[in-house]
Amino acid sequence: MLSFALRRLLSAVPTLFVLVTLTFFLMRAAPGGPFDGERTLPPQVEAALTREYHLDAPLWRQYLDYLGNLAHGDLGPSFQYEGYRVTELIGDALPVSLALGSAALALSLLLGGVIGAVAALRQGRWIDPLLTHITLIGVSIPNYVIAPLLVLLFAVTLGWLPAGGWHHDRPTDMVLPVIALALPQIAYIARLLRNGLIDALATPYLRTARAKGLPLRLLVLRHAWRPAVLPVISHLGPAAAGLLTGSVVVEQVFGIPGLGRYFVQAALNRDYTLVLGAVLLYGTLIVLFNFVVDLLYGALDPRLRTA
Amino acid sequence: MSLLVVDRLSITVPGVSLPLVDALSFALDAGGSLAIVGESGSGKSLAMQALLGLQAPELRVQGSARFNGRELVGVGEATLNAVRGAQIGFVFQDASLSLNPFLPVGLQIAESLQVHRGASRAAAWQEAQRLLDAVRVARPGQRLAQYPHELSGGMRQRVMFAAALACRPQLLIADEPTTALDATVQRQLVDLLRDLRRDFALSLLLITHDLGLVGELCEQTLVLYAGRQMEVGASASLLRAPQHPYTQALLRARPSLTDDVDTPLPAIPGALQRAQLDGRRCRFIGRCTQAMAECDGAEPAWRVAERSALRCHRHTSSGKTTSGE
Repeated sequence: MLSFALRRLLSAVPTLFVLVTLTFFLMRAAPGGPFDGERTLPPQVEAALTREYHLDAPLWRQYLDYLGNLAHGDLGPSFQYEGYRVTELIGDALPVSLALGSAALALSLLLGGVIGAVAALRQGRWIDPLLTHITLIGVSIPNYVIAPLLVLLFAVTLGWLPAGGWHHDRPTDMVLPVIALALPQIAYIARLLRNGLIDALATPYLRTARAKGLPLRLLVLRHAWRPAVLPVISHLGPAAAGLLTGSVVVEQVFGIPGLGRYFVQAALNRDYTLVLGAVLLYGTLIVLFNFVVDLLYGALDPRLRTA
Repeated sequence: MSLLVVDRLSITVPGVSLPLVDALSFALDAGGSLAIVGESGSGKSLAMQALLGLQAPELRVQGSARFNGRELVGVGEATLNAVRGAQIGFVFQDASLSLNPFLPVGLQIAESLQVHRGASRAAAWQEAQRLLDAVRVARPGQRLAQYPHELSGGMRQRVMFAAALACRPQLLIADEPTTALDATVQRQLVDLLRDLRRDFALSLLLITHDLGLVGELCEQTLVLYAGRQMEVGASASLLRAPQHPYTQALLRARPSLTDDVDTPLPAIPGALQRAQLDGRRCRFIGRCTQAMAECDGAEPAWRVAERSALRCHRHTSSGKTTSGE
């Protein structure tokens, strides 16, 4: 078990290496550069900047330098945010995104789980199609529509919650962004769990369990839940990585200093180091959560456990 | 006294006029045994599952099935749950699909004891070990904690038997308990089933298309075709002198050890195709070698004859066998 975990984590190193390498060269292959703006810089200034950031060195040299710094945990200086290291920028924004993302994740699991279970166990009655249609809407509406609608209803019309902002002493700041982040996930998880549970209840081994005269409680809580939650767990790996690294749309609408905006801004600004930092972080989280998914699969399904 | 009386049990798909199981009627005495034989799609498994309300929820079940005088058709889950596992045990075909792959087999045997007998977890697991021993699983104590995928096919089917028999039911329904197993294991399971019947004083409903099992395990045999019972009689005479053309064809379709390996396996020509069935004529007409004009005109009535009860125009019009009562 321990050796399995170690092997899995070690195998992440080449994955991340390929990711960093591809991102590095793809960014450089994209037209434009970090100092391109509406006004062209005087040649001396541009030459000075280029030297300052070692952009005059050969590309392979820059790449090796980047890897060398990376090995020391240094993601380099940001091109756009003058005087900031990428580690500092990410270090400031990550806690915000983690707080929002983990709250949204918890809410999605709780509500998605309840809705999915209720729909599956009331299959064929009025509440199942009702919930199924509501969750279909939830899955289909993008959050750049949901977020402004939430602001309009709860901040502008009702005035219950702040329309945006991020203050340490105002926890209500979190409510609307968390809901905006969670709604599509709630809907998605609810649908996955409903279908998973309905499929599980239709298996031959659930028929065997019913033939033993077990009450519904045991049919679900002992026999059906494991196969039913496996699809949800598969989905949660990448979904959790996405939620925890923030959403550019939600951060923009609510004015939140999270990580999500860096992904888009940095790419548009050719902020090479910040893009690499963000991609590396996201890639690491994906690898990490997929690893957790594998561990959970092994814990739930005895057929996947190797002696 | 009859343990189980099934009376005109019909199972229909809503909107489809011809039932999947059409007015099935039989009685099983306490301690008795009945084999239900027929091709795939004849409705054997479905009818047996419907006895315990295990059919797909969209199907409509009509008629009556009284077990120890208690009605099982159209009653609620609570009533059925008191019978399921406690008084009627069910062994499904293909234990590799019918055991829960996520749970240790000990739990899957012990759980009905906890539910029906209120046994403690420890007592139920102890009994599970005894049951595994009774179905002749070697080293039963070690098996309890194992998962279905860690057991052989034959052992999984024994676990199914142990789970079905845990609460000492009066009746065991076994749905093709030996299919998908190799011949040696089949032999062992048949012997086991015969011994279990004796040791547990079991009545047995055996679904099979293996006619070899029928004579060995069941006193009575019911032949089902396309949801209709075609012939019912004592297994011995039914196997020796089948009356109904369908039963005769089934018996002819048994492979023989003395046949040359190059001769094709005998089979009943044609196939059971539900779309071509018509409730106004004999269901077997398209494949029957002895069909007459009457067979196309009306479905034969169910008649109790000398050797067996059957549904065939040949045996009502020819006067060869007149109805006994």
